[in-house]
Amino acid sequence: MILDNILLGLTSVLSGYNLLAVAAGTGLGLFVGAMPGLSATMAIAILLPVTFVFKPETGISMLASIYMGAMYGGSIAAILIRTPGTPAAAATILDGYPMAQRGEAGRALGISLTASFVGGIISSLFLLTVAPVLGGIAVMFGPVELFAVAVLGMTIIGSLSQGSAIKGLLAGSLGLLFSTVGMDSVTGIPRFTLGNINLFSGIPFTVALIGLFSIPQAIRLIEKEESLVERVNLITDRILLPWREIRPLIPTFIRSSLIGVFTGIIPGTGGDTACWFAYNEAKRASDDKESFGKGSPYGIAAPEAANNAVVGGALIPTISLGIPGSSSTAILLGGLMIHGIMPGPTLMTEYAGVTYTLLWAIFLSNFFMFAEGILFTKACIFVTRISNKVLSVAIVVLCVIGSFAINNNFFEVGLMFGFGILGYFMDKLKIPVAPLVVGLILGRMLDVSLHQSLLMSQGSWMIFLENPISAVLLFIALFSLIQSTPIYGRWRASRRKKSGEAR
Amino acid sequence: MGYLVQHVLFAVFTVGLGLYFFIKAFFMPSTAAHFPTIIASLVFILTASMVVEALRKVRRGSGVPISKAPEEKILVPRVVSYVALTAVYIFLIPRIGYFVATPIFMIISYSYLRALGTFKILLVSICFSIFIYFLFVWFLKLPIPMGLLEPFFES
Repeated sequence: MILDNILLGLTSVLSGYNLLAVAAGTGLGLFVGAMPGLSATMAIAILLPVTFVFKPETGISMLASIYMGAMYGGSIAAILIRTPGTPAAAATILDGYPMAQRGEAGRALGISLTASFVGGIISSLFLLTVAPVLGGIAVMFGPVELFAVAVLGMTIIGSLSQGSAIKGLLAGSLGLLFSTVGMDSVTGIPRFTLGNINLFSGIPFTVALIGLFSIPQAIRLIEKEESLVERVNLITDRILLPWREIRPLIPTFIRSSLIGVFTGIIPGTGGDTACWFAYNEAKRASDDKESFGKGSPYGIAAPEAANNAVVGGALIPTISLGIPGSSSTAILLGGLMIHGIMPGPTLMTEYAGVTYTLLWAIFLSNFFMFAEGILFTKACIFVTRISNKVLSVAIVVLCVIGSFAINNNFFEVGLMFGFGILGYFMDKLKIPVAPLVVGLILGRMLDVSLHQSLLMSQGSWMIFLENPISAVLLFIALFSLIQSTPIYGRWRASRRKKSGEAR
Repeated sequence: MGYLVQHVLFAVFTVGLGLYFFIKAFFMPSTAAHFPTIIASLVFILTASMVVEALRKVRRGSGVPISKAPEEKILVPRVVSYVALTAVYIFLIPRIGYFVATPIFMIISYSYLRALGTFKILLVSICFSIFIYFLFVWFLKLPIPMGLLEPFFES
């Protein structure tokens, strides 16, 4: 069955339209990623409405390819102008820019491109093998297990969010609260709609996503005076690296790719975490630690392999369980929902055609990324020169038309703007937006599965502890909550101190 | 604005939001009210925790203000004007039409932000509007309100 679906996906992705969508998406991602300050998430959010006219598999393949392309694109700005194109390319600056300054910009970009390619391929292989197996298990889940899975996803993404766990969990709860707006799926009564008919079908979360990820970005681009950046204006050497230069980097590629895959699988952690993790590991494993920060090829290879490997890793829980592993995969999930495909374990069965096409699209996008990277990286120098102010206004215009395009409704444009302002304030208070988005997506599933579970148990909450799978998942959720509290941190610190004294 | 004040203001917003959901849920059948009531209660607890955390950070002296260094300063008047300009733009689209409001918004915004020279502002605004027309109206067949331009686009 799984093999049949894998073959079905392969045949589908090789059709002309889908191949074109993957190629175009990768190229778009590459250019958007190269623009400093524009994240992959924002690129997917803005371009989401453009994919409406396509068949679901074509549209989703294009969005996933944008994600992959933007991950490499981010390194172009990092290497050439010492500003990460995407947050996931932050660690690439440390060695990428010094190498470019030495007149080896092509070499630095070549290492980044090759590392991104290897990272992407390894994560795609994980995705193609692990997701169907995990999806096969998840499809046997009933409402009790689904409730526990959703609770686990929410607590992990909340408590592992960068900064304060309390803020992450609060953002997640706000998302859950917003998800209750609209017609209740059990009783059929409208809830919290303020008597507005536009809210009867709930808050369209693609509209919320566009606002939350794009409007704050547009404001951030103009909120400070643009400073003059040091830049490398020319690429004089070759981007395509000779084999003798790639060979010593292979262990770093593989180690960092594995770090990326496993970081991506954990909801709430993404490319920005993986790139630093991989960089530190590469430095730790190196015999020449002194060269790091001065243009070491390993310092470029590690973060770049890791951030592209995150793409496949983050898609594993997204596809198999319906729990997005990162903000970008949350938007991909939103893209599926726009096409009438509901997130959850049924993605691998009922919508196998679309899902397996997506898996192969991720795999293929790596080859397009490599080819387009060799062909177009030099052209990206021009993209990195676009002023932030010019970009900001263009982003606002695209957000407005994009949010209108979803349901041809101006109320939703206002809603998008409202969420955008909320997102801006959250950003200023360092409250992560990703848990809010995940809450919006998982809210309905949590609500329905809680109701069904309590119906099954005639109102007893013990059902969640009597079911072994649910009990284990909820225990892990509880542990992830406890380990994020300051009390746990203090307890760990005192234990470390005691063991140090004992030695 | 102080670190703690910012958090208190956000807490007022979240508690207000939570209260709306909590009170409204009170008048709903228990099945429909169950989940929102739990989540609203969670919002209250987490909001209180966030304020306590902010308070402790301020007491420890680790509360980070919005802008520490002068070069990091946020240009508040610029942000407020830009947000207001965007709100007016959104308000005007259904009234005067998307393809009238968009170039005007772009020209005013670019001029206000001093993003480009006059000729480039006109060029970018018009070219971008044409690009949007071809992508969303011609390619995606989106029924965008033409407003004042309606007579020119009637077929």
